Amino acid sequence: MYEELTQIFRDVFADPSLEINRSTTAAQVRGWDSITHLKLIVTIEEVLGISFTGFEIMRMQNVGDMLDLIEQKRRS
Amino acid sequence: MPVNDQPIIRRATRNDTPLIARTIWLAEHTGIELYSYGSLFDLSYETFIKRFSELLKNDEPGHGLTWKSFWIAEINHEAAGCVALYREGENGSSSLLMTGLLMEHFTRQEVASAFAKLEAFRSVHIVQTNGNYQLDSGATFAPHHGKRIFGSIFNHAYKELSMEHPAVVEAQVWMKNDHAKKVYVGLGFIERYQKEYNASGMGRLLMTKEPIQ
Repeated sequence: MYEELTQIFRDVFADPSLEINRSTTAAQVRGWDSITHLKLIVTIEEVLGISFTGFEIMRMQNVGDMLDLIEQKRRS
Repeated sequence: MPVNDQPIIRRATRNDTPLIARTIWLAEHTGIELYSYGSLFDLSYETFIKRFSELLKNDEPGHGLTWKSFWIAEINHEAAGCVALYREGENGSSSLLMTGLLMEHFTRQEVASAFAKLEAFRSVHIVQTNGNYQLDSGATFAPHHGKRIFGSIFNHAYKELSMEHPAVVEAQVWMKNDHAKKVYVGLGFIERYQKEYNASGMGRLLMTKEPIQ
């Protein structure tokens, strides 16, 4: 899952060398603003076949929160 | 019966969201703005008030689209003004919080369409500094203009928040909004930098105020 998410980040941010980890936040990634966030969420939903609610998106404080939520959705 | 013109300032509650929605609409529609929520989402005043009154009921702090960030001034039990002040980063990035919130209340297609319009104005985007207070939407309601209501609310809110976390306050204004700039200067703000959209002077200006000592 971590590799899949990393690839999505690299595609959305158009940066093939982008590295993320569980503690990565928006403040640490150049260009991670509201517009890119929307693209990121929509891409994750499309590629992984899951769907987030807006409130779930609001509670994603870092990549770790994102990974946990994706895994939870894929299990259910 | 004597009339008391001294405002009583209080924190907003969830029941105040129609008033807050009206505040945001008034704050955004100055006639010199490049965009607003209304223009991005193609909303009439009536639809904006209805949809944002619901949206503003969310309890997540730390951004400009929750009742939790607003203070209200009342004179003789009538709302005279309303202002938002929150600390950037207290609950994560405010712009990402607002993106999630908009995705909760609008369809993916509506948000994508709005953000596609916003992208055209990306050059004027000023990133909020983590840890700094953000003076966001604010308005004084007729017939209370000229009574320094906006400043009274801001000073009250800033003093209250600063007791726990003293920090710089940031305010972003449209470069051509001379009235707002004058009000902010009167409150102790200074101009920091601007991001121009075009040669006609449209763009965004960052103003800051140093912490209360």
